Amino acid sequence: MTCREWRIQISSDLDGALSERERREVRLHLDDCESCRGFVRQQQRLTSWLASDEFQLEPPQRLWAEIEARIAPAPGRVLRPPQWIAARPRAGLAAAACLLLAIISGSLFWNSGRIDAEAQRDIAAYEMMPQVPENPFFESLAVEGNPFDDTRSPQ
Amino acid sequence: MPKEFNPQQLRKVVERAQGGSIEDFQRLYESFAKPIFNFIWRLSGSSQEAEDLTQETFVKVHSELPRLCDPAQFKYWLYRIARNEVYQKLRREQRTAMVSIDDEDTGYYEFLEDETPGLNPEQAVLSGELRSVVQRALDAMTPKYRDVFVLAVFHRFSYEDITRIVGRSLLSVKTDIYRARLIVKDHLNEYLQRKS
Repeated sequence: MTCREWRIQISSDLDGALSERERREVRLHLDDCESCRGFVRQQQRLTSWLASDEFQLEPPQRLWAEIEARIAPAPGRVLRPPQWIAARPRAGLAAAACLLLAIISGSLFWNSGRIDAEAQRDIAAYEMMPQVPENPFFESLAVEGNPFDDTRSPQ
Repeated sequence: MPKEFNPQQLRKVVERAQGGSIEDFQRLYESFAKPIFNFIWRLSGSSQEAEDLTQETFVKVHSELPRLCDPAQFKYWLYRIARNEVYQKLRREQRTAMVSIDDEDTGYYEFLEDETPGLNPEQAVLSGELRSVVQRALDAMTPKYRDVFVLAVFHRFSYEDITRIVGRSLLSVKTDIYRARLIVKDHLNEYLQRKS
């Protein structure tokens, strides 16, 4: 290897990018080469100096406020759904419906020992509720048909 | 002091930000704003451009975040967007290879005046001059060298991480960092010879 090639290795070594074996090889070369030892000393100083706080700037304090003003949703704007819901709206709807059913079932189970006429009226009210919550977010998903039907092909 | 996240924390914060949480996006901003601002400043050579492009970078990151498939890649993706923003701006201004420091730029060196309190006036002048020599060396590099040198030496990224950000081979990264080191060394040599 030429000294130029060794110095590419030395440069990598200064950045911690050599394997233990490569480092040993570099050390062996340095034992015999005063010129490359000079390169190491020079680059060590340069590297530690450039990585020091002397070369750090603080971003202006107002920067976040300016960014926030551009990214915050305007009042009344509907937030974008998370990507997994946007990609599979039926899955999102199914998850919401499952949650609703879980609440109903949990409530039935919890109250199974003491169902009275009032509780039965509540259950009847739940059963009369549409399975899809009346929420602009879910409406925007524009899902048609039965969200529980897994046999349908995905959109 | 901005919070540094471990990989698990970062993943969770990114996922919540993907779900629309502005608070979590702000946490990401607080953690990465300073390194990104400095990265952009070193590539562009102007603190004013660094301010504008940092803002553009985070606005773009916010809008594209839902499309990031793997939250663990957030950091590399963020630096890639910042880098693209810088070079898109430079291309628009037809300043591709050589980026000169704006004479009207009152950014970096003035910021640093009070950050070397241990130095006497003569040393402070020398320190300021050396920093300006380094900036001129960065400006004299092709973007290809400057990118990888800044990431490796100023930001202490591993070479593997740099390949993820710049999309080049490990061998090319290693060689270009070495060449960039020589350019900085030559500029410093020239300056010191003139001084002596």
